[in-house]
Amino acid sequence: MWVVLFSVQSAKRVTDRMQSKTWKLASKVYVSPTILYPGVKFSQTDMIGYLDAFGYTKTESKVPKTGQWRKDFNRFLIGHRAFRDVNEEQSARVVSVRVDTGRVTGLTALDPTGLESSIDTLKLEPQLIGMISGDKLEERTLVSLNEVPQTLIDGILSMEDRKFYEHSGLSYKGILRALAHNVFRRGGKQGGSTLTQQLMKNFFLTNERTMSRKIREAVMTLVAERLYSKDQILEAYINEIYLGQNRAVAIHGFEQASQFYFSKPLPSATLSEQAMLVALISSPGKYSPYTHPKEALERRNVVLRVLLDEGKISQADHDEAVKEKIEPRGKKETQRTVPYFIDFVRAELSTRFESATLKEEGYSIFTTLDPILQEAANASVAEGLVSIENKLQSKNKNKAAAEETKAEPPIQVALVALDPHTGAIKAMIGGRDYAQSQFNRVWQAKRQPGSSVKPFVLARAFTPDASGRPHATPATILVDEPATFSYAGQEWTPGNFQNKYFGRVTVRTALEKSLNVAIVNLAASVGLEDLTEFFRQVGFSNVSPVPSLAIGAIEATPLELARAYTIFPNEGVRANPVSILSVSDPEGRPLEQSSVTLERIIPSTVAYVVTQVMRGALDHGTGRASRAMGLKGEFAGKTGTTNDYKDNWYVGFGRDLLAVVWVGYDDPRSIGLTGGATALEIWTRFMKRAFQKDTPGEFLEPEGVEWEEIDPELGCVSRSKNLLREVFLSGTTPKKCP
Amino acid sequence: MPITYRSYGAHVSPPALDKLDAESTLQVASLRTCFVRRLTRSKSACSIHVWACFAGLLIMSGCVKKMAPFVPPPFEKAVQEERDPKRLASLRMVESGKKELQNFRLERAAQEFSRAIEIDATNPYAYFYFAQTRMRGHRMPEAVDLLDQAVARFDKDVKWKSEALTLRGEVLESMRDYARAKVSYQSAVKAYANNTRAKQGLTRLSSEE
Repeated sequence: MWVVLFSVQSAKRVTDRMQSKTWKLASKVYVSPTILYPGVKFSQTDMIGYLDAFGYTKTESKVPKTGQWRKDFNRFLIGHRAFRDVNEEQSARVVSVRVDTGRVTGLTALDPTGLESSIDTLKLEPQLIGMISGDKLEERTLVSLNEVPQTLIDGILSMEDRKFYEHSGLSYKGILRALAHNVFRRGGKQGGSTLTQQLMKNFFLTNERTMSRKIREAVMTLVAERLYSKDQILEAYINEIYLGQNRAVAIHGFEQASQFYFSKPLPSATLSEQAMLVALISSPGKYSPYTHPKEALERRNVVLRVLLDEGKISQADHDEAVKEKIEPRGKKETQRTVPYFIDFVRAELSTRFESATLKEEGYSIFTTLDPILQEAANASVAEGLVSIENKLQSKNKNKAAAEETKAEPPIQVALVALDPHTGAIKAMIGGRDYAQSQFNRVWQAKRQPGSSVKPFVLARAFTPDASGRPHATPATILVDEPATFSYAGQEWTPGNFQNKYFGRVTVRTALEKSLNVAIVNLAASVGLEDLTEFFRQVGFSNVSPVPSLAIGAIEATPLELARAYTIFPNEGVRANPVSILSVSDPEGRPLEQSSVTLERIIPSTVAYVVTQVMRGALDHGTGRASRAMGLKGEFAGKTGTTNDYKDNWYVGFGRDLLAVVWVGYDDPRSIGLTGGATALEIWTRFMKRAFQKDTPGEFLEPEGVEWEEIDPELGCVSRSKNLLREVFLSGTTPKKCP
Repeated sequence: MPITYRSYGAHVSPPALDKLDAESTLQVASLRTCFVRRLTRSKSACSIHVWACFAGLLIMSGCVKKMAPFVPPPFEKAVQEERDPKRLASLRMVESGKKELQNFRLERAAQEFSRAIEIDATNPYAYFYFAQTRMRGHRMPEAVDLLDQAVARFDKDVKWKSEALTLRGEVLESMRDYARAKVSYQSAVKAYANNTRAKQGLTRLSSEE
């Protein structure tokens, strides 16, 4: 009775497990494919790095096969593999890429006859940057039996179960023979279990060597053999077998093992590599090419000899494979460099997918991240923090104070970069060390943005009201003297940085020097209610109509600030940040696709005028240190420093790239330095790297603006010597100077 | 002489098109008949008829030219003539996006156009077709914003600029923002005087005032 019940129960367990969704597959997160075209920045080092990272093998063949490449001077000939793009499959083809002086100079595709024809673009395989997996921490990529090289199948059967297609699941003779083989024959041990038995053990059972476990295994084996074909069992085995460990994550299945050890899909593995994978079956730890290369080599050679002895490979193939070195080259550990972004993506998806679904269904998630810009951000933040800490230490001249500083929590940082036209998030750093703190300051930390909101005051002031006239222009004179402002029965007296006041200044000067009182006066002329409503429209939340709003007495995350700032380089249109392009199931069926959401906030003319004022703030205002660091090209931006120096900001942009940097302590306290001394440095390093050997595009001048030469102090049209060329909305140029 | 009309979206087909085509064909047939007769009959009677037909054809061509719907140069021509590799790469993304748009895969199309913009943010066609994608998805305010950006980038190509302004006017009209629609149509005509579609838009708005 017990046997019958157990058999019925086993049948159900086996069928449940062998159904199509038996495995818990982690979802994989990719960047969007890099697109090459003539003229794009991409060096020979970048190309070799890409080929290496994706397991392309160097060859001397005239025409490389799929998965191979060769180099002739500056020309890379590549047997490019098929791969899945964001929305479609890209087919395999042979391409030629010429790379000179750090750029692609030519692209051609070769047809089967060898005829070359030029192509305009080439998409590279998307880089895997992370996984979203469950607690069990397994990595697995499914492969169907017909995709598995025959020599690999032969190797598995020869080493583990020669009579697989003949026996009924349990090989009694095999068990006895294995015992005899292990005792009397040299080299090459054979296990006593059939593949089916091994599969059942992996699915359900432990490694304990007890009689009861053996009996349970036998029953399940017989059930599986009854219900499923040999090919189905073999395919399940190939996808299930444990083949190693990637730190805390178990590697299951030959496809995943091929990716882990050789950075290539299983069909592209060489005979030597296939033999190496088969060698791992009996003991992945003992024969790992990473940790035991000598043992791995010996075991691989055993597999090759067995294949030769059984006539599965020729002598020539055997000899060539034996000569091949085992060079494991697992995929670059990029997950460690983008953990904050992966968390952000996971959080975004969790609003639309169940957590268990993401961890178990094996989705492919294509994101907007740019790996080159992410690397630039990583390096810039690392270098910038060293520099900032040196500055902090040199400020603390008292040794005791310096010692106290060392014991305190370290200063933190956040950086987010995005394309302002599409909102695509290109780089993200949520903190200085993910291992220490997973708190993502880019989107979770609400801090006061301080002076970095002043450009929005200008934007509102420059926007024409119902009468068609703006409240101010860049040349409007503002009063910058100590003043007290009254509102709602209260009084407030703002102060300027270092208590310096400049009397009568233009709006431009007020922004360039970040003069608090002058800007508050500007805000008062617009009207607090009006300004508050505008700030809400821009995207700031919890905004109140108080004068200190004009100098940043609100709370915002770096991501919110980045979103708001897109209106300036994007001609008055706000682009909402986007991180996920598409989600598809393991079969490639799209489950979700997303793109940018846009909204016009201000006229393009106003956006342009404010941008031109911000260019001045960067060139010779509070952001001028960036030019001293060697930054070239058209950039605009604004520093931000809150009261008592608790938050340091720099928000800046070129035409096609915007970045926000925040520096501060998690428990708000004074840094003792300004945004121009901390955040600006990191931002500048990042932009210099991003535009290395490139120049940013020019800001597009819209119709409806005009330029006029004015006196920079009086703000009127002048023909005297000391002139400034200023931009205005058409019809709002100032009068001539008396 | 077939007259080709290219449709880009929410357009109004000129009602006189078929009639014009038929009349032009008739004129050509008459002229052919005349020349045949000229070989067989007396010169004087046929020559008057020939010249009359020829004169009629000339006049008709002028009318056709005036009344024919305005179309900018085809997008494919822009791709064929482009020599800047960066712009060409961006245009290829636009081509890909257009295919998705034709198959009504709107989000895929939007992604391709976004990619085109990321490669070359000055590519006006990317914004133009992105706007069409948003129109198809009934996201009209976004379509208007994207057309604004397309117009700003078509500054040298007056026909395409006029086309983008006309489309902008039609979108605004569909949003019942008649004042701005009128400004758009006026700008379209200012950019290219022979823009009949924009003129028809202005006529429609005038009749509704």
